[in-house]
Amino acid sequence: MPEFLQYGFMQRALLVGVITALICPAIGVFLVPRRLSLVADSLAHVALAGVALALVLGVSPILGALGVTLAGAVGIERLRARGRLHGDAALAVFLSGGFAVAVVLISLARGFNADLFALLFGSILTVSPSDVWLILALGLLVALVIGGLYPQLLAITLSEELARTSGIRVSALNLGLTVLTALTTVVAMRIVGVLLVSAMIVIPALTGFALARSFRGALQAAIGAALVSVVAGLVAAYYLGLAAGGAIVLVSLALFGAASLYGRSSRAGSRSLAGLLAVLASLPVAAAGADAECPRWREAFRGMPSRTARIDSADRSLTVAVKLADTDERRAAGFQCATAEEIRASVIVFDFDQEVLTQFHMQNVPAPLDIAFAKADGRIFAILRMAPSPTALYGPLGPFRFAIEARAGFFASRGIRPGAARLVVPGSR
Amino acid sequence: MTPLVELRGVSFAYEAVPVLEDVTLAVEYCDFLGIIGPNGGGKTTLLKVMLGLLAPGRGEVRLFGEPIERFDAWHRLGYVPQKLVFDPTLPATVEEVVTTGLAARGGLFSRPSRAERERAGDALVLVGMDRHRAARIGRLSVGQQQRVLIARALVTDPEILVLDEPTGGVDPEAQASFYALLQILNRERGVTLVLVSHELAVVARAVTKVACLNRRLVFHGGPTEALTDAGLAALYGPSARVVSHLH
Repeated sequence: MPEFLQYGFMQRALLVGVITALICPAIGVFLVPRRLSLVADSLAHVALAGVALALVLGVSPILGALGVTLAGAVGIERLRARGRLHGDAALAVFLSGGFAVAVVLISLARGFNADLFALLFGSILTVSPSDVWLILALGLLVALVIGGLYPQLLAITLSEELARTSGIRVSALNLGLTVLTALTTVVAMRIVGVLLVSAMIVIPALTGFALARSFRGALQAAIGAALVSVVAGLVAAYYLGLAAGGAIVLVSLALFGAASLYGRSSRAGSRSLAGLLAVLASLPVAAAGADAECPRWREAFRGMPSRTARIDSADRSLTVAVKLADTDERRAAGFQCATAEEIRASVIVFDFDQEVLTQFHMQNVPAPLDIAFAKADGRIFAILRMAPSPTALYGPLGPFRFAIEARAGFFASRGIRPGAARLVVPGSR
Repeated sequence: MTPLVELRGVSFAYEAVPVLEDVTLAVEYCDFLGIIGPNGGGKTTLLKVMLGLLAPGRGEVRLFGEPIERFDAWHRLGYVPQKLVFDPTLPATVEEVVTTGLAARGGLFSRPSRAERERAGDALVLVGMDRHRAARIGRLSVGQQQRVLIARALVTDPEILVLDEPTGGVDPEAQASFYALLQILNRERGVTLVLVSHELAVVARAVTKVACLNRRLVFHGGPTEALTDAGLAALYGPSARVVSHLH
C-alpha cells in the first residue's frame, strides 16, 4: 500500500476526490454546451458565504454551505426562468455578492479558526471524519439523479425547444440541474477549493468533448480525465505540499491540452494515441520533481540525538522518546523530506537555547503536524496545527525556547493543552 | 371528428408589435397543410403558438381537442425545427439525437426499451439515414441533418408532424427527395403534416391545403385556388404574379 494511503486524512481526501471526479464532469457536460458554466462558479462563491455563515454561527461548514447554496440555486433559476438573466450580469451579481458576504462575515468574525487559503484553493486536510458521510451521501445522490435523468438531460442540452415539444418538463429539469450543481459545488469545494470548483466542472467536460465521438463517450472520457486529475493532483499535493485544488486543476488542464492536440491530430487523419500517452506519461515526472536539498535534510534528521523527554500535565506525566534538533542545521531540517511513516513514529524537540521569535514552514513535509511551543521554563503556551503547504508560516504569539513537532492530533489525544502542560528535557540547561 | 390542431381567434404580439391577428385555423386528420407567406408574416410564430412554445395574447389553441395548457400527449406530435438547433461541435451521434425523441417517455432510471431503440432504427431507415447511425450529427450536410431531425420527430410514431422551413439551405435535388419523403409519410402512413415555407411553388405542388399568412390568415383552402393572382395579391400585394408554373 502506498504510504499516503495509510493516513485517515488522505483516505478521506481520496474518497471525496473520487466522488468529486464522478459528479463534476457529469454536471459539466450538461452545463458547458448550454453556456451555463458561470452558474457553477457563482454557486461556488455563494457556497463560500455559506461556509462563512456557518463558522460565525458555529454550525458545520458543510451544512452552512448546503443551505445557502441551495437557496442561491433556486434564486438563480428563478431569475433565469423569468428571462431576467441578461447575459452573464445576474450571475456575476450572485458571484461577487456571495464573495462579498463571505469576506465581510470572515472579517467580522475575526479570530475564528478558518483557514481561508484552504477554503479558497482546496486542501487535502479539510475533510473531517464527520464530513465524510454527508459528502458521500450528497455525492451519491447527485450521481444517481444524473444517471436516472440522463436521457432527459441530454434532450434539454441539445435543444430546450425540441425537448419541450417532446413533452419533457424543461423548467423542472432546469431547476433540478441547478440544484444538482449546488450540491456538487458543496461536495467538491473542500478538496478543490471554492475558486476552483467550476474548473473541475468545466475542464474535464471540455476534455471529453474534444476526445469523444458520442455524447455518452464524452461523459465517460470526462469522468476518466477527472479521476486522473484528482488522484494525480492529490498525490502531488501530498508529496510536494501543494494546494490540492491547484494541483488537481493543473493536471486537468494538462489533460485538456493533450486531448485538444489529440482531437486536432485525429481530425487531420493521423490519430496518434501514442502522442497522447506520451504527454500523459510526462505528467507524473513533472509532478514528482522534489526538492534538491532533500539529501541534506535527511542527513540532518538522521543525525538528531535521541532523548527521553517528559510532558507534565495537571493529572499525569507523559514520557516521550524524542529526537533533539539542537543545531542550526538540524533545526532547519526538521521533518523536511521525511516519510509520512517517520512523521507518524517520531517527535522532534527543537531547542533554540534561549527564547526566540521565529516561524516554522511546512515545505517538503508530507503530512500535517501539530506543534507545541514552550517557554524557557518548559511551560507549553501554544499548540498549532500545521498543514503541508509551500507557503504557509506558523509561529506563536510571543517568544519561545522549545518547539515540539509531532503528527497531527498527537497533543489533543494525550490531553496536552496549552497553558496546562510543561516540557522537561533532560540535559538541557 | 375533432381537428388535430385548432386555433381560434389567436393573436400574438412581441412587446407591442402585433405578429398574429385573429388567426382561426383547423388541421384535420390526414391533411397536408402548407403555411406560406412572406418573411416576417408570422409563420414561425404561428407554429410556436401552435406547439405551446409561445402563449397567445388572445385566443385559444387546442391539440387533439385538448386545450394546449392541459395537453400532455406529446408523443402524438412531432416537431422538426428550422435547422439544427444545437451546437454542431457537440459530439452527439445521429442515434443519440434520434433517441432524445423518446426521453420524455421514461421517468427516473428508465432507459429506452429494445422496441423503442428498434423504432429509432426504423425511423432512420425511413428517412434514409440508417447508415449514418454512429456519425456525429455536426459532420453531416444540412439536408442530412434535416432528415435526422425528422427521424427524431417520427420516433414516437406521431399522428401529426409539424415542420418549420425544413428545406432551407438544402440543394434542389435533396429538396425533391425530401418532399417525396413527406408525401410517403402523408399518403402511405397517414401522418398529418403541417409545413411552414416561403417556397410557394414547391409547397403548392406537395400539399393538400394551403394557409396564406401575413399577420392575418388571408387564405385557407386548396392549393390551386391559393395560387391564383387574386390569392397572391391578397398575400404579397397587388404586384405579385404566379411566375413558377406547376409541372
